[in-house]
Amino acid sequence: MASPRVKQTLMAAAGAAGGDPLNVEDLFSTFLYTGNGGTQSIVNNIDLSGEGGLVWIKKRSSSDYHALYDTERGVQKYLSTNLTDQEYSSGVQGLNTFNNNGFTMGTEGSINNSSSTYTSWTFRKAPKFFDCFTFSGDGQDGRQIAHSLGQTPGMIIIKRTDGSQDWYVWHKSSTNVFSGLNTSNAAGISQIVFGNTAPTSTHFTLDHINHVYPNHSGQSYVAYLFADNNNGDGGFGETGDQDIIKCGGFTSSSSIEMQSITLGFEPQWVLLKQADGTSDWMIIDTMRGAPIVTVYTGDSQRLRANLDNGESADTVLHPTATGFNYRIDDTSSQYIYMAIRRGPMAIPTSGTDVFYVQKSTGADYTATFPADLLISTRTSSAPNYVFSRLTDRKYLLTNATDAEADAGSGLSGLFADQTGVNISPNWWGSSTTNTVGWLWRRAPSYFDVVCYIGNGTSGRTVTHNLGVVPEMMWVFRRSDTANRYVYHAGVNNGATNTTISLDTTLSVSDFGNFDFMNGTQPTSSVFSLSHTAANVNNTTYIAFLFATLAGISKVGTFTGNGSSQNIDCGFSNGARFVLVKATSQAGSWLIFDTARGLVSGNDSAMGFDNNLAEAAVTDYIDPHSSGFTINSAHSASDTYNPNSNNVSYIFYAIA
Amino acid sequence: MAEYRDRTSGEIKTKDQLKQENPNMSMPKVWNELSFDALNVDPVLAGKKPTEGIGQYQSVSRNGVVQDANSNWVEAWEIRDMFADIDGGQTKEEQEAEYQTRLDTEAATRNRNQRDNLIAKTDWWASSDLTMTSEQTAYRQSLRDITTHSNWPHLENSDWPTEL
Repeated sequence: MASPRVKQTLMAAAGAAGGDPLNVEDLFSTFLYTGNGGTQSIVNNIDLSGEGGLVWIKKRSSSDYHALYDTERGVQKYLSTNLTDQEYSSGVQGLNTFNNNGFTMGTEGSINNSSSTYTSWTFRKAPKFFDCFTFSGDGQDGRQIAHSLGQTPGMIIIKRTDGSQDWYVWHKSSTNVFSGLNTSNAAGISQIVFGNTAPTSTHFTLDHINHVYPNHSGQSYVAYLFADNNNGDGGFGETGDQDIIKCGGFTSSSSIEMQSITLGFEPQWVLLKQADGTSDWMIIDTMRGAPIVTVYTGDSQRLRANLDNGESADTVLHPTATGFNYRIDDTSSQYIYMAIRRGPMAIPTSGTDVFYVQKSTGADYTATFPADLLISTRTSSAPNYVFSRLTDRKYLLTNATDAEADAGSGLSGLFADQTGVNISPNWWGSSTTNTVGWLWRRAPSYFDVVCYIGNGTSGRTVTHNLGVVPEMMWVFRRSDTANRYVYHAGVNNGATNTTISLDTTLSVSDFGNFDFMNGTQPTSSVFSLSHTAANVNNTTYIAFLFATLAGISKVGTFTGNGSSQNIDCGFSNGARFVLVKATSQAGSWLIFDTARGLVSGNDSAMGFDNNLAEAAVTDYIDPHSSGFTINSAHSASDTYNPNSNNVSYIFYAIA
Repeated sequence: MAEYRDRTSGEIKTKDQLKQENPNMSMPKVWNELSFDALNVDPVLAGKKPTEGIGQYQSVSRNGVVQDANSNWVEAWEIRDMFADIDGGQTKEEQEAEYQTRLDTEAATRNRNQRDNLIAKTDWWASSDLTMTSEQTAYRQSLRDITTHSNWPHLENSDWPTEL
């Protein structure tokens, strides 16, 4: 018979199964914040008060102990993974409320010191993801502890709460048990701690050996259990067949400089440790930054569960569309990991949740979401800089073929921001510079970003996570000069030999009817490449993928009529961003947006293909509820005319 | 948040408000002209928010909607003074002066902290077993003198001495 606690959770799971699908963004959050030295509420939209869970906080900017608060032990009680110490009371200065959308804390220095920067990792209790509970030891061998994961755990952490003891860690891919999370020691404890019995989907086992290990009579413990989804048995997402958490292991090899780990999803958070040797418990997340610098280098921001150090950018671990790459300098060593899928998994329902444009003095772009792509320029003459979360401070230009450049350490952590991007005014040379920033967030069916390394093989495919067939793709070579290849499904019915380039005004035919996609149209999961251009061996690339999403974005075409015409994008409140390019004759990649003015009157046009200042001299475009109204401007052959008679145009618009 | 203007009352409503007011109406995911007619509303389109000509003691605020030259209803924005005379209280100028003092104090604190951090980063130059170069001595002195800079406390990045 199931215990009351198990019954309660199973009922909750049944409720979830009958209602909205659960996505990773409902269950896990990396939320970065700056301490204010007062009361501060973190709104990460995780229901902790109703569902329960764990909040793990670590100061990033300097050393301080890890602080773990959970709903089972209650507020104002924390444990530290870098210490063996018992649970401490923080008083009201600590985390003092679990909310239905996050948590609230007081002034305690390890979690909310004024001006210090912090990361919080929140794990919500949910079947097939995470469970936590307290229990009292009974001193018996073969103790069966029931849990509510509904799936065999991939990792179990146990900590005594009423006295000093190591953080014991059982991991499915480690021969031995770790003792523990608070040390860099190899896994050196016999499985007898866990009764020499593998955990099941309903229980795990503890033995009581020499009064040392967990389950000592009269002592109190907390257990954190992490699931291991495989082949869709996680049951998450709109389709109910997606995995969001994976525990596994691998053996390093001297013949492979960069170890590629396949998870079946792109991770946002990775915990990794060598199992058979000394190493720290490394934690990497993509909010703080896990960028790909070159083929074999990176500067992922590392925190370590067993140490109180602040973060340091010294690790080469970065996500791929299907897992992660990790550079290891040793050979034949055993490693274990726990990885959590990147969100959001839900298809966006509002353009403002995934796109933001702002004209700014300086460059503090305050969106309502963490951005994944920023294109920014001065409104006076300047290049168009392309920054992405996956490459951090490395930037490319839309208007030139230059290889990627480094913006300098001052811009490190550019995307470590919950609300947009804040570029130091120093980047622009003056705090009074007028700039514009266009910010995209990755989301299914809307927009995706993929980094890959060329292999020089024709027919090679690259996996993406757009979830639908991309209708427009931009491919930038990072490590060398190259055109900014653009595929657009609207040109000649998506024929792949209709490439154009963001850095030029050339028409399709003048660009040479070039095909970088090996004659194969992209699918909802991969795009294909020929052996050159966008797939030169050992060369790094970044691809941006766009799609039409009803009411949110539109990738389309129109034929110019030389006067004025409404372009129906299927929007309700008009377009906030419009990109237009002539394809049958030379034409600039014209950008219009509501921040600079998309009005009934003269508009500010800028071009992705050039570094010219914006020009508000002509009525290029007018607002229209279903999309936009495009007007003829300048002479028919002018590259800034967005509606020349009988000229073919492509466009991309966002509501 | 998408907004809509009631054609009769002129009231501005959100999509959620309209859904709540019409609980028995089945609505498509994306609204079009038919939806607007059924609800007796017009969509409010994004308007251009002023970014220039904003005075030191002014801010940009939303000011309802306005009809553009093409008869679209668009967001209206206006530049407003941050302060006004208070009957029996502070004048507009007094409030501005108080506000400016607060900005000055905050900027001075922030820049003093930055100066202290930059000096601390070079403290090891002054170890007894090292001899500072003239450039190092000058750099540290420039940092100490930063409070006498003509732009103090509102410094540009270019106002700081170049790090050695």
